[in-house]
Amino acid sequence: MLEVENLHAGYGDAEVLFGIDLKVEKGEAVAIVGSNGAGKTTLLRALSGIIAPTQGNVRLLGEDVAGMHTHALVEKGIVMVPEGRRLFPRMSVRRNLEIAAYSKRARPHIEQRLREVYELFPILQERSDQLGGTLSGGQQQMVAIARGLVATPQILMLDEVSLGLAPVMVSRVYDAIRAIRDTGVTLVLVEQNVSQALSVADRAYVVQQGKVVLSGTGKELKDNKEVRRVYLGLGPSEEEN
Amino acid sequence: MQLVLQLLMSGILLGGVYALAALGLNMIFGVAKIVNFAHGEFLMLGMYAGFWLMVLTGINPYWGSPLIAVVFFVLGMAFYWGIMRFTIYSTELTQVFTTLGLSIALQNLALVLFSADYRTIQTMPDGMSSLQFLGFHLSTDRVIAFFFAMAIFAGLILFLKRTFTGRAIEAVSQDLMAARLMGIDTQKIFLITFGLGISITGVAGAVLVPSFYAFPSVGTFFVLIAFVVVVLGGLGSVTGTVVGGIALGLIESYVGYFSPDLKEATHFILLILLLSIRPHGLLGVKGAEKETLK
Repeated sequence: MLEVENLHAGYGDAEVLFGIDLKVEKGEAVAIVGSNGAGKTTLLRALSGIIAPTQGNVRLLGEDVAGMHTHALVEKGIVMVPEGRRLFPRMSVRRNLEIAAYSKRARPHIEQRLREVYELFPILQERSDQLGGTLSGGQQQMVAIARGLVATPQILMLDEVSLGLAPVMVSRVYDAIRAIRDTGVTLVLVEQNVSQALSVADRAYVVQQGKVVLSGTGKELKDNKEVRRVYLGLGPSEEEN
Repeated sequence: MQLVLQLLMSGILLGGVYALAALGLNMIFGVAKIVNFAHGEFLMLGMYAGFWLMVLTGINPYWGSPLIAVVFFVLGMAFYWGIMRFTIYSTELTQVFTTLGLSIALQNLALVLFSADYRTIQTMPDGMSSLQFLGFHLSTDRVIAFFFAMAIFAGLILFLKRTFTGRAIEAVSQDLMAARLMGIDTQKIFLITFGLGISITGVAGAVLVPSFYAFPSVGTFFVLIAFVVVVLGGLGSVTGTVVGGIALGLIESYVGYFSPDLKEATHFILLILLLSIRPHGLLGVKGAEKETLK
C-alpha cells in the first residue's frame, strides 16, 4: 500500500534520513523503532508532507506522493498523529474532533466517525465540552488519536503515542491501538517504547542514524539478541514482563 | 448626571467605531502572527474609497459598503499573495519592515493620487445630522457606523464558530502544524484571513469618512488607536477587540470632555501601562504577544 524507496530528508543543510526503504501492506501494523535522534520523527514528517523529502520515492497505492503538501496527503488518506498531541488548546474536545473532518475525504462521514471514536474512547464523550488544553496527558492523547481516525485514514501514522504518559495510560492507549488495528486500519507506529510497539506490530523496522538497519516480524525482532540488548534493555535470558 | 450619560453614550458609539477600525489588525495578527504596520493605510484607502464613491457616483458609503467589502477583500488577498506570503515564516523584523515599507509607499501614493487636502463627505441632509434619543444628542453617522460595527462583529463571530472555514481559521491560529495535519490548506486560510481582515478594514474606513477627515497620513493616527484597542482588549481575540474599543472610546470621551489636550496622550499612556502590566490584554490569550510562526 505504501512503498518508500531511498528516502532522503532533513532540515536545511542537516540531513537526517539517508535512504530509507520500507513497505507497508494494507491492513498491516508496522512499527518503526530506534533510539533518540535516529530519524523516526523526521521519517513521519517527510511521509506526511510537513517537510519535503530531498530525494527518493514515496508511493501510495502505486501513485507517487513524495513532496505533496500535507493537506493533499490528508485528502489521499495519509494521516499523522503528531508527537506531543498538538490539540487545539482553546477548542472543546468535540470541536477538536470535528475539525479533523475538514478534508473533502472525511467530511461526509463525520457523524459516523464521531460515533466510532466515542465508542472507542467513551471518556471523550463525557468530556466533549471541555477545552483541549485542560485535559490530562492521556486524555489528550486519546483526542489526538481520535482526531486521526475522524480524518478517515487509509494509513494512520502515530508518532510517540506513549511519550510522557503514566504506565496505566500507556496500556490503555495501546489497548485502543490494538482495537483500531483489529478494525483493519493500516497503522505505522513510531515508538521509543519498543516492547509496547512490538506487541502490536505485525512487522517492524529498526532505524539507526537515518537508515533502516534491521527489519522483521514483531516476534523476530523481539527475539533478536541485538534488539533485546539495545532497545529493550534485557539480557538474552531475561524475560520481559 | 445628564452630562455623564451623554458622555457615556458618545463614548460607546465612538468605541464601537474604534473597535471596527482595529478588528482587521487583530484578526491578521491572531491567525498569521503578523503585525501589519500598514493597517492604518488600508483604513486610509477605505476612507478614500468611501469618499470617492460618494463624490463620483452619489452612493453613500453605507449603501456602498458591500462593494467596498468585495474590492478590499480582493486587495487583501493580493496583499498576502503578492507580498506577505514571502515573509510569513520569516522573522518578525522582516515582517515589520515589509509592512512599514508598504505603509510609507501607500501614504505617498495617496499623496500623489489624492493630494494632501483634507476630505470629508456629508451623507445626511441638513437637519438630520444628529439624532435626539431620550434627550441625548447623537451624531447620526456615528450611530450608523456603530451598528455597522456590531453587525460585522456578530457576522464574523458566527462565521468563525459555525462554518468549517471559520473553524479552520481558528485552528490555524491555535496550532499551525496540527491544522495542517487535519488537512487544512494553510495557504488558503492565510489568503482568506488577509482578505477578510483588509475587507473589514476597508469598510471601517468607508463608514468613518463622514465623521473623520480623510488625508494621506490619517492612517498613522488610526493605527495608534488600533494598537491600543488590540492591546487593551487582547491579542487575537475578536470579543476582546469590541471590549477594548469601547473601553478606549469611553476613556477618550470622558478625558476629552474634561481635558481635551490630554486626549491623545491617554492613548500613549494606556499603551505603555498595558504593555508593562498586562501585555496579553483584558481578554487575550496569555503568551499571544510572544507568538510567531517561526
